[in-house]
Amino acid sequence: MNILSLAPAYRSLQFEYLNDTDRAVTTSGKVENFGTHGEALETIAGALARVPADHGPDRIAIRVAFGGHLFSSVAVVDEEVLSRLHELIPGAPLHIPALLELLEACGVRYSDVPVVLIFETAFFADLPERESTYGIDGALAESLRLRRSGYHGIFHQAASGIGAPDRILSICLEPQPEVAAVMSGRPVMVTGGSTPLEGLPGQSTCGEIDPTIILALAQDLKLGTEQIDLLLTHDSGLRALGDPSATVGVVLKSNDESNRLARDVLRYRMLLAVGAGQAAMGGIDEIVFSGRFADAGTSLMPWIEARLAHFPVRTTHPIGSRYVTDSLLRIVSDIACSVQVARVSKIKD
Amino acid sequence: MSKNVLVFNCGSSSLKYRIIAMPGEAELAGGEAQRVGPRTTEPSQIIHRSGGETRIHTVVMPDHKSAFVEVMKLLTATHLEPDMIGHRLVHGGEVFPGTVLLDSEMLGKLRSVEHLAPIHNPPAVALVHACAELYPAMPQILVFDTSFHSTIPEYANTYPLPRWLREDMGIRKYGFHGTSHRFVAEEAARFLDIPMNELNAVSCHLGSGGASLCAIVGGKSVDNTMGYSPLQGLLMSTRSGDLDPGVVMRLLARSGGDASAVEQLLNKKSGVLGLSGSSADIRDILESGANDVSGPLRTTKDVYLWRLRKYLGSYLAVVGSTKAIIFTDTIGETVPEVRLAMCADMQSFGVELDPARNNSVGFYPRDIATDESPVRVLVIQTNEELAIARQSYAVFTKTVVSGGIR
Repeated sequence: MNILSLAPAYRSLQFEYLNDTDRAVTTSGKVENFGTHGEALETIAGALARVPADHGPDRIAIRVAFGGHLFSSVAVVDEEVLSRLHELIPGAPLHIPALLELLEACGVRYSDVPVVLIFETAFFADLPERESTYGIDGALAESLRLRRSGYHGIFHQAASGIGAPDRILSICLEPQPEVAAVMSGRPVMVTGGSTPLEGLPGQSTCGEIDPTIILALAQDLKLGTEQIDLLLTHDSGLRALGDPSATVGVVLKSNDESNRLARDVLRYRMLLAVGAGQAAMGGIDEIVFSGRFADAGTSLMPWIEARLAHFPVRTTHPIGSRYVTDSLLRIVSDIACSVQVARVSKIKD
Repeated sequence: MSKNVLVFNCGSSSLKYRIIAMPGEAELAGGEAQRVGPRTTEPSQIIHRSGGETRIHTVVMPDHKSAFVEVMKLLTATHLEPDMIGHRLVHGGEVFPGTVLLDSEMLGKLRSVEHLAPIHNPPAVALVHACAELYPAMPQILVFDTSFHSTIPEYANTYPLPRWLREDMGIRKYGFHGTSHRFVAEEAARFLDIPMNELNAVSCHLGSGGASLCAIVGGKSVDNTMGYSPLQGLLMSTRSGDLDPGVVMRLLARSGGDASAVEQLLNKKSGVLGLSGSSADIRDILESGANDVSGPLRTTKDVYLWRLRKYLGSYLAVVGSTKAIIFTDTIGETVPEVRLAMCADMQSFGVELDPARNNSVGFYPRDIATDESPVRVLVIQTNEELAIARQSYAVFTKTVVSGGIR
């Protein structure tokens, strides 16, 4: 079966076209600065058409970064799904119309191909209330829908899939790293919040900081919320502590003095998250690294192990480690493959 | 030779004091001036304890200077002359990393740290000035809640923010409750019969208002759940603790950029009060919502205990070869349910709580771990005034007695 895996982001559409029998990527790429999603999909269709002796996609998988609280982790697109998406427009006036435009383009270009939506935040939809609730006025949080929802659900889901032991500490090493504790397949703790700013520091994002700091920026420096947002989203994180161009992977693996503080801060924050996860689950059976910098886990794991070895326990419990090196698009296509599609749903244009 | 240390712990509208004979640590007198400041419907008064008696004196005290004068009158009337004054200050910033003997230069610098703790620092600074003015020859020692945390390593006190913010605005983790964390750590080392510099512990200062955990390695603080301000970290009585920066920005935008409104919201109307909608005291929530399976009381209880448990795990991971977990202050000393929720099912860290000992502490300090538990779990009463007296006396004997006074 041929899978076309798509990951839409702001004004970009990443794709991977692969065959699930031999797991070989036939072609892949990223379309940027396009006018409409129809144009973007045409560009991708052009790339697919150049693949020799190929009958085209049998299934389209789309990663969706929002709406996880209203959908279970996957949904095969049909009229009902489309109408539910329409209802979500007021809550996400930019994202949903863009997705609907993409779905329409899929319906036009590949009218007989089933489309499977994989919701990134769905993995954390049933995060226990004690973990998802912020310490603010309950009614206010309810009205503004402020709850912790995690960020890299798809990676954590892949890390804790079939055959995994009971208590997984999942460390996702993406540009915005995230640690989750997953017990019997269900998340019980995650560092990410209701926005990508909370939790561990990222390549350019600040991560957890004292809320008073933000108020001081507004009060003492007279910065507006947009300026503060820019500062915390683009000018903070690892780049503010070390080499501005270093990735999470480079920072974790490097012994370079220019990245020392960035590495030490990131590792330390990860250790705090590992300890929190261990307390959340009563222990850890396995630490799983995923994300595009998963291989940096080979540097991180010995460091974490050395620290966990100090616990004055009466009986030691070995902690395994594993690396999920699949890309997001690969994981998305794997999930899409596992979905039973009862009938080929046609999307009206 | 015994020296009398007069310890002041200044609140926004109160002044607690004790006079303690050092190094014997006998409390000679103590009390609290209440409703200091502008006149309220109830009169301002001093509750004074001395020689086993408690007396209430109604006096007008429009500010902390007048409260100080009245306290001195009560003390001199019973011939209790202090040899030195020890002050508790909440925030010393980067200007005051440790306990200091006051001199004229420091007196000037003190104004520069006032704004770091806008509720607590200004009255305490005013009191220091009043003491210096009225008793210029009296040694005054300043003990800062932040000073125990000056040993927190750079990787733990650095926020990943642009350099200009960190350096020009002094934005970093300072940590708080240091006087209490240091005191109970010293008491724990004494109880375990080990030198302070061999103590690896997690100290849990759980007050009915504020609360923080402190990771201690070799007797030194290496992390504290509070940060740049006392707002960060645990869920507290009216403080939110940790909060997604994105959420803070949404609240800020929603209030039209009014930072002080958001500050009020997060400091005064959040935490246990905000979540429960009924009480700011977690003990009320634990009692009245004990059997609720859902609803705001249950949520409040769960969030409060869960965040404590996660931070305990984090700090146990940081400390590694932990000797003890220390529980102190009102909630830590008196609420077994909180200690149980934090320490149950923590064998993977070497922590084994004895439920029976936990439920009947009875006396302090008390070890409530099982006999076999590799990590001891200690309940220790904090005594910030005594801690200030100890530190004041130590600085006094080191600098004044050895002729170091300027």
